[in-house]
Amino acid sequence: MNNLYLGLAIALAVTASSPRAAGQQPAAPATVGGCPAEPLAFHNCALEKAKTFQPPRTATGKPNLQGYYRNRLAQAFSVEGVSGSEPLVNDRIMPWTLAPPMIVDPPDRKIPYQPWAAPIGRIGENYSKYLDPRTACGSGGVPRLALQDPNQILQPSTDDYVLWLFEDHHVHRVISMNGRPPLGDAIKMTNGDSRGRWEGNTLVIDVTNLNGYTWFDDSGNFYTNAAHLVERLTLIDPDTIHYEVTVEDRQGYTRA
Amino acid sequence: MRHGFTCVIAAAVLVAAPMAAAAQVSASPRTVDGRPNLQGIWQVLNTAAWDIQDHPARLGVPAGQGVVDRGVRTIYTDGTPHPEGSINWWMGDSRGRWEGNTLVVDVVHFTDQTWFDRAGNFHSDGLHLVERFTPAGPDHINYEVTVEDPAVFTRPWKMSMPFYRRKEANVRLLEYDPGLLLDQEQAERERRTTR
Repeated sequence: MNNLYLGLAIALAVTASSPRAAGQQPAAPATVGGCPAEPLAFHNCALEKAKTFQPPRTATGKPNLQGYYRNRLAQAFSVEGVSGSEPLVNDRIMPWTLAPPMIVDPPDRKIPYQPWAAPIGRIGENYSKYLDPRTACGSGGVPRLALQDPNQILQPSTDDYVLWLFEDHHVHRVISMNGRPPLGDAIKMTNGDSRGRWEGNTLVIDVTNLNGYTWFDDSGNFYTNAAHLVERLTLIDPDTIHYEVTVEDRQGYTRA
Repeated sequence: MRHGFTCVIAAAVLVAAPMAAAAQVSASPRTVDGRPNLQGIWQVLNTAAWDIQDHPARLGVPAGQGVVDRGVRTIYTDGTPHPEGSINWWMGDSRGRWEGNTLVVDVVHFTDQTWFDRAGNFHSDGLHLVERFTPAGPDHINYEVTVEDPAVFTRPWKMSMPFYRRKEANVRLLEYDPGLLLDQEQAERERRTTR
C-alpha cells in the first residue's frame, strides 16, 4: 500500500440541554464519555470502551445511534492542531485557539501531503488566496460537517438507510445500508456517495465520488477528488459516539 | 384440440388478471411497525413546477392543466404539537399523523417569501397546509394538499396529483450544491470574458 491514509478521531456527544447563549461554543471539556479530551488519548480510550459497551438497540436489533449530536473535541481552525508558534493565534479580529491535532495517524499527526499539495493545504494557498467553500453557501462536506455542525442521526425502521442531517443549509446525507451498487466514477459530489454497513456495533460508511472541492477545516486542509473515506461511528456510552475517519487519497497524499 | 387448449389458457389468464391487480394494491409495502412504507424516490408527471393553474404553452414552458381541485423536510410523527409561533421558516413546521393508510401532515409557521410555482402564485406567512399522502399501490401515492390562507385567498382550496415511483434500477437522488455551482458558473464566465 503506497497511498497514505489519515485517521481523524473525534467524539460526537449528545447535545446537552443546558441553556447556552446562541452561537456560543461549549467550553472544552476535560473528559468526554469517560475518556480524556485530547484526541489521540480519546481515540485509544474509546477503542477500549467500545469493546465492552453494549449500545441501546433499535426495534430491529441494530445499535441505536439516533439523537442530536455535536462534536466536543474538535476545533474549526485546523485538523493539524494550532500551536503557539502560529501567528493567527494573535489575530486581532478572530484569534485562533490553541488546540491539539485531531489527527491520530500518522504518528507525527500531520496530513501526509505529497510535495505539490502541502503548500496549498497547510495554511497555504487555499487559506491566503481563496474563499472558504462554506462562505458561498456550499456544504462543509465530509468530514467537516461532522467536525463543525450540530447534527441529527435518524435510522428509519426499514434499515435500508441511515439519515444524517446537519443544521447547515439543510445539508443531509442519505447513507444507503442496502448494498446498492456504487455510482459511476464520472459523478462527483460535494458530499460524495455514502454506502454503510454494520460491523459489530460500529456503523462503517464508505464515501466515494467526492468532488474534492471541500476542506477539512478553516485553514484549507484538503483531499482531492480521488479520495476515498471510511467513517466509523461507535457508541462508547449512551450519549457519546466515537467518530473516526480514514482518508485515502493517492493523488494528494503519500506514505512517508 | 390445439385450438381448445389455447382457449383454456386464455380464460385462465383473464380470470387471473383482475386478481393480480387487487393483490398488487394490498401488497403495498409496510414498515416494521405496520405503517405504509412510503420510502422511495418519487416524481410527479405534470407541469405544476411552471404553473399550478391551467396554462397555455409559452417559450420554454409546456402547456399544462392546473393541479388546483416540494430541500429536506422533517415531519414529526411522534404526536407532538406545533411549537408556539410566531416563527417564519422556509419549510414551515410539519406534524404528521396516520389516518388509516394515509399520512396526514399539518404545516404552519411559513415565511411569505416562497412561491407555489415559477408563475409567482404566492401566499402569506399565515399559510396553513394539510397534506395527505395515500398509497395507491406499490408504486403510486395519491398526494392532496389543502391550502388555507385567509390573508390571500377567499376560501381554502386544494391541489391533487399522483406521485410515481421511479423504477430505474439503482435510481437515487443526486446532489444540487448551489454554492459550488455558482462558483463554477462564475469561473466559467470569467474564462469566457476577454479583458
